[in-house]
Amino acid sequence: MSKLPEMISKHQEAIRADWLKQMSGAVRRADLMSNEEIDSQSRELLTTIASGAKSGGITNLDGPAWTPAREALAAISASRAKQGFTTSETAIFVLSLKQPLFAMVRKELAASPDAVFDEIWKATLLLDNLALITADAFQTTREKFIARQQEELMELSTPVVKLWDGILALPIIGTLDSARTQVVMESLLQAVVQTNSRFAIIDITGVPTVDTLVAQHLLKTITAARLMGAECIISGVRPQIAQTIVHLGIDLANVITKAKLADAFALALQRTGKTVVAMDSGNAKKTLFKKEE
Amino acid sequence: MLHRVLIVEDTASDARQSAAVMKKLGAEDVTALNNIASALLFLQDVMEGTKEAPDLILLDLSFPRESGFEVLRFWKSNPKLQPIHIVVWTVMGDTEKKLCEFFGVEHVVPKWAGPRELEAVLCTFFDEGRRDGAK
Repeated sequence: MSKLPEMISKHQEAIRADWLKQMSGAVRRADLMSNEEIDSQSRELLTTIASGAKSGGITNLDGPAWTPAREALAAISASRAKQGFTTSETAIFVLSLKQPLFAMVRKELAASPDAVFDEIWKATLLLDNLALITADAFQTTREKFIARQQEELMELSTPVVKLWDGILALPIIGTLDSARTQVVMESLLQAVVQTNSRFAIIDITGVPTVDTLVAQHLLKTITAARLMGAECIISGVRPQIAQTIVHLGIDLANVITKAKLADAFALALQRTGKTVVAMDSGNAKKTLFKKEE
Repeated sequence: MLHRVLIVEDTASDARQSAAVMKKLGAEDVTALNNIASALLFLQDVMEGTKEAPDLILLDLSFPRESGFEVLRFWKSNPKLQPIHIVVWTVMGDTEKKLCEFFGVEHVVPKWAGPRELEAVLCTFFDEGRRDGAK
């Protein structure tokens, strides 16, 4: 039976003081968190470790006795991930507990070197396990961050712009995959309904490559828009992409394609019965002059 | 109580069938139009106040020329027409159903489900109307 749990409970305050001293040398990030915060975190963690070791043993940390300790560690790691600590800085927070714990074991069991070695080995295993929990929690928080950012990026990357009454533009930048095409399609159809538009220009200037799948997705979007009574024009078809489309045998015969967004806009204006007329410079001057009078 | 109902439907037998369902449920004034152009003209008249607005439109989506979505567009883009209930009754694919959601049409009934299903959906409107009328 290990004496470690008993020793931790007995010397909790001494260990904590030593631990804080250790940390101030190794990982204290005064720019990221205050002393009070570290103080309260270390107290909370050590208390939960002491109670976990006492009731749940020190070999298996999966049991319910260790739940408070695991939760405390996860919360600490998550807050550090948000504050901008690195993985090693977060792990060292727990690992720096080793030295004070070992020193305490040595002092307590000074009489028998065998027992010292035995307890130190157990303490190492315990802290390594705790450090692994920390690292896992840190990683999970970071991954959540990244996933959320990806979502935001996806929403930002598919803006639907109203060019004129009844004419929408949808500039697509970056590679199109199934998930993204779904977002593109939904935001386009939503905008068609909201603005009651007759024309939608899908600009693929910023799409690096077009493969069969992407083309299929585009065609699906175009069909859906057409069902709703909106005609789609694809613009920004670069020579390489045109070649790829021909090479893959994708049939775009029923779709209006234009090389430039400007051409597509001009066509849409023409189809809606509008033209762009250059302002007569003489008239413009006259109006300006009249206004000044 | 729903008094006036407009049916936009190009298949004569379907128009007859749905009109029968409407009458059975208690509609008094049932108008059926067999093409989108006349449906749009009808709604235009409603907008201008020369025709009374129907309480409900039963709309088919597939027409030889323009689709029923043209009616949905017109309905959606004119706030004055918003109080009219719309039920889409069509040979449905999932795509059309999804597109109807964009217009905010909640009641989409597939034709293959038969007139019973249509009656079940329409019942809710007529019941609501009855409750409102009783108040």
